[in-house]
Amino acid sequence: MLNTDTPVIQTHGLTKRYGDLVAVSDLNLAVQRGDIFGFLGPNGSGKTTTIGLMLGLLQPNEGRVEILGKDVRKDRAVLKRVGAMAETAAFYPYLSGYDNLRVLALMSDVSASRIWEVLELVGLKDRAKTRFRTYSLGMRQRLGVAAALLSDPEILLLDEPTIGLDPAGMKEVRDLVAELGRQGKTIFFCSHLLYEVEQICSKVAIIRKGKVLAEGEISDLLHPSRYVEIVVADPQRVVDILKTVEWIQNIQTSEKAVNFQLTDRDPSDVVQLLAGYGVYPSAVIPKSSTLEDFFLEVTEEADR
Amino acid sequence: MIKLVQAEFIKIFKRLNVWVLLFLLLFFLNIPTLIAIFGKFQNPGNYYLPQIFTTQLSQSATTSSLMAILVVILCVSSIGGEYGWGTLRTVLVRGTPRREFLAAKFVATLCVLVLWYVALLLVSLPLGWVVMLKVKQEISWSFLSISGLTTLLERTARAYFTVVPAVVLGFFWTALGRSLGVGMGAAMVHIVVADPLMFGLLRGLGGIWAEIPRYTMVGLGRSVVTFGANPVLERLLDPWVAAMLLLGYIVIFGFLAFRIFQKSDIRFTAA
Repeated sequence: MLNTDTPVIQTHGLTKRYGDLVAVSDLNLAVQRGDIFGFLGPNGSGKTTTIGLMLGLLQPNEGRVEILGKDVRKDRAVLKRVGAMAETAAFYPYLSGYDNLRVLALMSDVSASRIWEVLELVGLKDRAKTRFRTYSLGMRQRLGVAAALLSDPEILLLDEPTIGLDPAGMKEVRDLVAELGRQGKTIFFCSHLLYEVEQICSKVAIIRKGKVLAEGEISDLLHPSRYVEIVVADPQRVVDILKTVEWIQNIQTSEKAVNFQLTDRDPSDVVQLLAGYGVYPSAVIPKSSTLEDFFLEVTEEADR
Repeated sequence: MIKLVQAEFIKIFKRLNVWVLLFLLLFFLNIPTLIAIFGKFQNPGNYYLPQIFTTQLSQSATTSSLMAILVVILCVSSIGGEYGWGTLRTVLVRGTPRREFLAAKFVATLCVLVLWYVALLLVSLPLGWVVMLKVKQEISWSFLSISGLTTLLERTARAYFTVVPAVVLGFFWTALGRSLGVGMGAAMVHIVVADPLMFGLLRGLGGIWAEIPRYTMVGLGRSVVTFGANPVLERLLDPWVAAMLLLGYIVIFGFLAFRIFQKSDIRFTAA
């Protein structure tokens, strides 16, 4: 029996290399039951490779993935409790949407009535008997979501589920994911669409070149006073002052500015601290009011 | 496992290429019969009932036959298609053990092969009858006796067995190449070019070299099907010994196919 505090998805030092290319490097993630966990990263950052490793499609060079406390490489049966849509929805082109789901239903011991339920849920009931090859990209993605939901799984791993959908379709899928989250399902949601993740996810990890750059509750990461930039004439002196207090972290400098993170104080405390040394910044700018700002900030920092 | 095989049947029987391959098989293997019916044929006796069954079975047997080529196309497209469409990841993410998935494909392909042989024999029956009517031969239905049907069943099983290595090779090369193109190319070269070429070349060299072809898949297949048109020439080893060695090939390539499929990454390609 899984302890309620034990993460339902956990990666331990997960590493995947393709020759010299390190696709995922020492990845340690923990997703708790009921989380809607956003996994963000630019194209080629390692998101899809991570999903592939979680689903046992790829063999890690190092580390392991545990789902519901079981190592997916040793106990693949645990994946029967997971619904997944890995990258673009892939189905047999010569079979109808219904037959494609029937093939999957046979593998998962799911009844025919459930097939119709999920087809209705994603709005494909009317096109169920049409061959998959005639489906638009949006319909294909919907069928992918239907396949992921087929066995009514506890955990959903969704890799860019709204790609190719029109705005109305994207909203429908987002609403569906949010509703599934409210029903208590754990959702691992990969996307490069930041506003989408911000709308539906409670926690987020940002990955870049296979490494996690930031992870946590979105509300914590986006706290307006947590990340601050101050503009001063002598940044180095300011850095020396800021280093004297423990509630300031991740100090970075540029030509005229100093960026840092506050752990438990407000920007006004920084102004007061600097004033004590006779330093008066020309500007104090709270940063990262949106996930997009935060994302760009951490990925740009990683590029420097 | 039964449900996995059921799922494979849906995929196989709803696919047009399976029916096209069956049509090609029946058409090409029956060209000599059609010539015997509509034209002048040197030796129509091979197409009388029940001799036509033996003729068709010996033509279909061995790894380099038309039957084997079409079976390779069937099984390579079955597993290679999954790589190409990306459906392998769609099915494997559902927790289906890889070895069971591949085993289900293997069983389903062998079942289709049974149906192909049944179809071949069923088509041969009226055609052989027509050939005999054409040359005004009296038809003897004695082959429908228990012993006649047992002989037919035994010969069919032997012919069938010689084609099974083609199925295993199809799976092996596709699992290794992880694509339809590589699997098809490599399996075809193996069964149509490399194995028969080695068989012919070494046999032509004579001496000790002429012993080796007995142990190629072609040589073993011919030894198993000793009821062929010229059994004395074709018989290279005792049929039971040949069958055991052929089984060895099946086990080795089968084991490798499963091992490779079990361990290899399922890459993410565009659907």
